[in-house]
Amino acid sequence: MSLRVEGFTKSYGGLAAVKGVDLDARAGAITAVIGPNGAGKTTLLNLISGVVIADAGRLLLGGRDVTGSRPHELAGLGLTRTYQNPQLFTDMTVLDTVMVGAHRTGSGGVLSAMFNILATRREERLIEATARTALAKVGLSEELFARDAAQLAYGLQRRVDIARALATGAQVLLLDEPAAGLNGTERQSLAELIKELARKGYTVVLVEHDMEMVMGISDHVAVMNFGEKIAEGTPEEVQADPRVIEAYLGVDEAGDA
Amino acid sequence: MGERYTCDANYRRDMIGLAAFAIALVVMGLLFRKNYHFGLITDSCIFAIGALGMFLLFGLCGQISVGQAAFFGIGAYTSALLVMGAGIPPLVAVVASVALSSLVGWFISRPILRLTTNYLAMATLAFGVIVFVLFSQAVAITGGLDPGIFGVPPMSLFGMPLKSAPAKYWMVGTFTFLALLLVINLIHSRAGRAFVALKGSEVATSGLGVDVVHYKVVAFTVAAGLAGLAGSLYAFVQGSFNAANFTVGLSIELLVMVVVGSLASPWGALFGAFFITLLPTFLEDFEVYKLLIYGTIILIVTVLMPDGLARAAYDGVRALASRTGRQ
Repeated sequence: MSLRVEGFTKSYGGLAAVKGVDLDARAGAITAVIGPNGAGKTTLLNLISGVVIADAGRLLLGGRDVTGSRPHELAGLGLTRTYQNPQLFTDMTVLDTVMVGAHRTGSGGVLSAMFNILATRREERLIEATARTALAKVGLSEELFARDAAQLAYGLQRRVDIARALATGAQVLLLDEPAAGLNGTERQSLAELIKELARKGYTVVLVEHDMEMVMGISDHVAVMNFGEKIAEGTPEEVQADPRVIEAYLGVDEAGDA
Repeated sequence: MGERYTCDANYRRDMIGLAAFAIALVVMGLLFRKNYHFGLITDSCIFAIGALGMFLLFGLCGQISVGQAAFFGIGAYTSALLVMGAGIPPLVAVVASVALSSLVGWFISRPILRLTTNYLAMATLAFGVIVFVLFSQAVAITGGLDPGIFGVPPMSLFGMPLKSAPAKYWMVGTFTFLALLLVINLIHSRAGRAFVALKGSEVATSGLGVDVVHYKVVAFTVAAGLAGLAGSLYAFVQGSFNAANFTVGLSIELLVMVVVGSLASPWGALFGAFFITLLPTFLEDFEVYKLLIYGTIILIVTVLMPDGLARAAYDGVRALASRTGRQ
């Protein structure tokens, strides 16, 4: 499922956080969005995922116009995301957390949950099976399932976050700085996982600060600065682009990559 | 602990708890000789039903309400007025009371649940106060503060009035069992997980395809319905009551029950309801100090046992068991 962003714009009190940004992400490919701090990457992700409503612009999912849909509707349409800070639910086990992601595997209402025990148990088993499949995809094993998700090591929390997103069944995954706070080995295996997801046909949009990871695994890179897209292309093209070098190393902005 | 972690295993564990609760009720019912004892457990059970609603709303969903007494009162008045004024059979009146209090809960939840934390507490508190004023001033319908409503006929089953204390006990016990069953069913469903998830992070929950607003409304509605059920049973058990029974004090008591018991499980709500209802009978000799002792207990529990008394007791028993097991 392809993702297409056309002319996304969002201003906060006269200050444009995102200005007329276009983005195309193909199925089976990793599309990275990079840029210095404050370039508008996270705002762009919030606009795409429906957390923030755009002032202008269109969002197309698999060719269908889904502009203005709310986050839970977008998830139903096939788009979900992970978080820079893995927002795992407090007091919830790993399995239950990922089962929240599989919410739409079921359809039972509240009255059915209370009164129709047999149907609900069947549905729960189905949701659990979906969650287990998602957990297997990110390489989390059975002995972790009963653990409190928010108490796990950071690298594992990221995987739970990704598994939770996969369990929704969405084909478009927005990953917000998945490598942040991870050590070298963890980054390496995370990069492998993301590549694997693209190979399986997912449309991956990656917002990331870790240049080594971005340049190593991305098929397409879009560079943002001051809310605008200043360059895009293959990792090689982007790295050679003078505007990109200026954005990162220029005297006016503090580059942090 | 060797059991595989699955949704079915978790459900089964609560079902075993429910069976244990049912057995405890039956054993108490068979052992009790004094009406006084039947009455105490009957009252505890009534409040436990209200506390279960509070547990869903506050414990699971993280949405506070300091206005549950309003729904409790709506349930009580609806039952009394339907049976006395319209000659509706008591069981039908119970269903109608739950339906009406749920409906009112649903109706006010949309605007009120836009608020969070302290603001939500204030809004629900205001709602509770407004409804209390209506109860106490609409004398023509409710009898106000004095005389209130009296002479509510007892619950009846197939035309047989449940007038004695043991009969009321079995009736209320059955309703409590059913309420607990429904709440446990709800916890172990996608709705129950959505409740806990949105308490943790609304943004992340909605990003996974869960309509957060819908589930907040559902929690508020079900909590109101359970408070209404408790109020309805209260009317049939007491036979007489007035607006003073549905003040903010009752709302706070329901809140205290789940905080003291445990926010994390229906067993905490049950435990808290019994604890708070039975405590005064043990403190009768200290009538003047009752509030002080209450306050102290709540303070100690919230500071030293943030997971609640039920959890602390459970952990204590397990620690003790593992220690004796090792020797």
